[in-house]
Amino acid sequence: MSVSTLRLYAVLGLLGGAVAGAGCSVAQGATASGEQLYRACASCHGEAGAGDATFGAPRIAAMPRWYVASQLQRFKAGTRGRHFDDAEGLRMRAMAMQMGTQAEIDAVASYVASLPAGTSPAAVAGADPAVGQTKFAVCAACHGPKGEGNEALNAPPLAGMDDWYVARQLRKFQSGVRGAVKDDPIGAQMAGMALTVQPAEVDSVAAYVHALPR
Amino acid sequence: MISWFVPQASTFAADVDSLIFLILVIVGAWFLLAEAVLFWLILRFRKREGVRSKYVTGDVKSEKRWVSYPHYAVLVFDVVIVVAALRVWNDVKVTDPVPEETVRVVSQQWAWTFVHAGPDGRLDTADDIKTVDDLYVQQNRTYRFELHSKDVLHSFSVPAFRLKQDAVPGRMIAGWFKPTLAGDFDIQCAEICGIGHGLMPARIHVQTATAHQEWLREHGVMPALAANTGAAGQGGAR
Ligand SMILES: [Cu+2]
Repeated sequence: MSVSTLRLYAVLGLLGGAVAGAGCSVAQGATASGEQLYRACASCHGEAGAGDATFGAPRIAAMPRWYVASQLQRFKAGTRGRHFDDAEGLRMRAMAMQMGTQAEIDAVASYVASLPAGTSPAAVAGADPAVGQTKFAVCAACHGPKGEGNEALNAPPLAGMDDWYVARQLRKFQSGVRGAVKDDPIGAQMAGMALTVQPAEVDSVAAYVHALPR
Repeated sequence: MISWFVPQASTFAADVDSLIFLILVIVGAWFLLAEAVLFWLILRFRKREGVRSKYVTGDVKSEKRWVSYPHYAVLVFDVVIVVAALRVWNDVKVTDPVPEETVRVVSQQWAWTFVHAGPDGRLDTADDIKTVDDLYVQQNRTYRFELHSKDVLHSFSVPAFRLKQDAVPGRMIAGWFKPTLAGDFDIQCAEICGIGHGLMPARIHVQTATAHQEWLREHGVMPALAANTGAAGQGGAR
């Protein structure tokens, strides 16, 4: 940032500070609670974290804290959601930037993890559960035989995840929209695994994962 | 004066600033004069012992002049400002100089993405360079930009260029700029576009010819991503 731009921001900041100081109750420096921070997420993911397919926002309620925190970090760092063609990712990236500190990321991740679990209705049509089950054997190596996830392998739980979301992510991994950032072994690993699923089988895998009990 | 705060980094930046300065001088001079007259009148006709106040109807010609003469002056200066403004508007928004290169600017919730023509200088070819958040241009080169929006209204604002253009979904809006100053400048969204509006900052990197050629050489050929072969182009990726 150039010096003159900084100077402009300083002037604007002083003006804004004067206005904000007059009537604003949010104290600078105090860490907001996870519930407060979640308000930013709620506009797409919903108050209860049930998600909204229209916004491309998946159900996140009861996702493990470690996974939510790691994804927020990845969105902020640009290892996820910073691809030219990743419309949803670019949207989520801006939202993740709102979580300024690690403490805020942890707080909002804990709140998301505390939201009651649930499963959305199936949305993907034309899936073959038998094909999904066969293909899932590969996924089970990391994500667990019941799709329960494995933190040590950076593999999130998949059981009960929105089928449309799983299908979309698989396609993003396959096309390099997700998981193709340089020096990102985690993304690269999943991108490689995603290629084991044939294009025609993506929906079946997603449907199978969605049907797994939590 | 504006350039104390934001550098003038395009050919028309100084014209825009001069226009704003002209308006400031005209309006400012009249403001000072009007205030001076007001306070002089207050002082001159202040309450005095033995002097009765008088109701002024404004019928007398010598009194009416205090209103009508400034009124004529306002009209004259309005014309001056409108003529000056139209000249700048015509230069920035109406004339369409022959571009040396075209860039595509895509706005979306909540990011700016850019398509550079690449080494061949043409858009929609294999060597296009697609970036997120960072637009790379060459100093002293005339650019045409094609502005798109993927979702809602946004506004492509480059304060250092004194450039601002709304992006409208479903439309391609073209404009131009010619960067004159090498350096990195802010790109902002200047149209409320949702909850992440304030979180879509981008940068325009104005490079010298050599630096830009270097950048082109580095990024010109799309890196052959392993994941981009085989399964690419199935659609449904978004
Ligand atoms: Cu915007």
